Amino acid sequence: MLVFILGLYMTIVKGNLIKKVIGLNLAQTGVYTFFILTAKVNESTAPVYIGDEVRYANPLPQVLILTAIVVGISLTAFALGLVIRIYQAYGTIEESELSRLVQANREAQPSTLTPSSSGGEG
Amino acid sequence: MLAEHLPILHVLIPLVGAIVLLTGGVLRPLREVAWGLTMLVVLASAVSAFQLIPRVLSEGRISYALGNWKPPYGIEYAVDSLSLLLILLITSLTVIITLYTRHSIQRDITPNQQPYFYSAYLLFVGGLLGMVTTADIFNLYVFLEIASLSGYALIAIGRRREALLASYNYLMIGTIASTLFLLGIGYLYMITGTLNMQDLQARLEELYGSRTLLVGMAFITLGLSVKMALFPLHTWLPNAYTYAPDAITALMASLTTKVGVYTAFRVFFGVLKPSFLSQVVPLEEIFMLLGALAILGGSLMAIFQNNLKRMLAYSSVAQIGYIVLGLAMLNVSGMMGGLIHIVNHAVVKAGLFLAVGNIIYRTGLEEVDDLNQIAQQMPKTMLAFTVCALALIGVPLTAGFVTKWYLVLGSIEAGRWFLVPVIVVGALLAAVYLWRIIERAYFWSRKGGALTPPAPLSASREGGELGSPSPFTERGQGGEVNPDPPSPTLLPNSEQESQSPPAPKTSEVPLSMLIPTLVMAVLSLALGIFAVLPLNLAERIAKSLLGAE
Repeated sequence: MLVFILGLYMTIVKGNLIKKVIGLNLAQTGVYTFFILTAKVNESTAPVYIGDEVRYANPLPQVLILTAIVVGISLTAFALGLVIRIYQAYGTIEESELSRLVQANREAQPSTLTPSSSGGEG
Repeated sequence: MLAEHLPILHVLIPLVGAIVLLTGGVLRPLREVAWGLTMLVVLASAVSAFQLIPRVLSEGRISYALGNWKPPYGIEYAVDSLSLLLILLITSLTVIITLYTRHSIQRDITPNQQPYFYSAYLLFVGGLLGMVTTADIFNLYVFLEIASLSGYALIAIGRRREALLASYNYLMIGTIASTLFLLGIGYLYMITGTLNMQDLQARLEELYGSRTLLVGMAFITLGLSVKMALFPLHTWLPNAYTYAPDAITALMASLTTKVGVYTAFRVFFGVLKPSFLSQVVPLEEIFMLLGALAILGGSLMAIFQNNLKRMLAYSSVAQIGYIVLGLAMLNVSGMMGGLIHIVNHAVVKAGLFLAVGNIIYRTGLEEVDDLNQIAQQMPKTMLAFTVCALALIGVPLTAGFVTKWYLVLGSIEAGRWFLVPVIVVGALLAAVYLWRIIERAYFWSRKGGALTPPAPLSASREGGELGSPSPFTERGQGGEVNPDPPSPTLLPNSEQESQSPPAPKTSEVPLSMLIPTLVMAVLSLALGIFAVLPLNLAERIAKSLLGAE
């Protein structure tokens, strides 16, 4: 939970877009560990069949989180790709500068971005 | 054999299509047919969805065990009448909008990238369909992420570079929302040990006092509220809608938030029971308040927007308010209003965005102020726009009227009289911001000066509105409503002939863009006139959702 809140804090406070992505990752990791912890059974082992009757941890949350991690990876990949494109378009990835640029842009004539080479396809 | 897999086919077809397009995009010949293939896929998906109608109507809930694992343990797919409504809505709207993408998207991306675009497009549709079909709450999260991720990608394709920032902000907010949703699922799983929604509903009933459940539900509600852009959490929406490609805006505006609302319906009535809302937590009141705020706030902000798409985006925020209001009333009429509004608003808003897309495609104008006399240039588009606008306002005989009627009925039944003026004022505000466009498009001269009412800008806006609170006469015979009739040579033929000498010749958009727009307009009329069919379905759903009480 602490990790989750830390990550959340980071996404809000940090001005650098990449650092925000890192924060997002942290937040997600917090949720993953939370899920994994719910699977813990006291004095249990890994859910591997070894012949005897043993207590074992609930494997289901781990499987779920595997899926969630995959989701997280694709999200991160896409977010980073997007940051690269933002950098190409604006020349900066600092939020304060970006909003300044956007503001200046709004006052001037809205410029159009020509469809450039790499479309984001997730 | 295929028939027994029907409940999942409409989800699988777009997903498989997406993969084919993605991998096949390397091959040159496939680039040429990308659009055709997408159309085929979407059509197939729609056909399989329509096959579901008779079965669901006769048998009720159809359950499908994925991979043949029995429901409480394996992932279950289920189609009941609520999912059916959404599935039909999504598949048929997608078919229409896919038709539209063919020409409209060419300005945004090069032909080489089209397979990838359509791949993301199909993933998006598949994700949405998956969300409304699955009966497993974790699976719902996964589909939510599929749909959101491809949604971010689709927004980033937009022409302007602001689209990238809009997409990035949406990604940040959206991901935090879905992470919260996931966390909430974690809490629910912790106390029940199950993820199947029916199973959850049965097991949770004894646990309504539990603090863990409360925390979990708080996270889920928060996450969902962001996803459906409920009023204070709507900030991602206007930018995302404004900068996305036009066809995508239409698709997202009509479907993304609706599916978010569907998920809320599912969670509150499929996982919890209505009694939870009314007894344990006053969530009902909170939602009602937020819905009312959304209607007023969204509409007010829409009035002050000058960018066409941004204005419609804020209007979407307001319309979500109506749906949530219907949900929160917890009685059959209100619920019916909310449910039908999901369908109606999807159709109407798609029509509006498509019409705006047409205008932008042909003229490049995005500001309300530039639209003078646009009706002369594009009469059919503006006709469609006008019809959809009327439907959004809620003029009788159009789709919007049915919804508002039931919402008003619902709020009276629920004993909440203060909501009636909110609904009516919301409609009036909608009339204000839409009338601005219609007035300019039909009555103002090209040179920017006011042709019809020689009053200053703001005054004419107010006067045009307050003078005639039900502006449903401007099509063709609008002259008689306006205080100062415009020169009659301009108006009558602005609709059909449009060859009037002062204006340039009509330059409508390609047929593939015009037809979907007109279809939407016709639909929004049809949904108002023949409202019985959706009403019956909605009544069934509302009763079955509330029946557990």
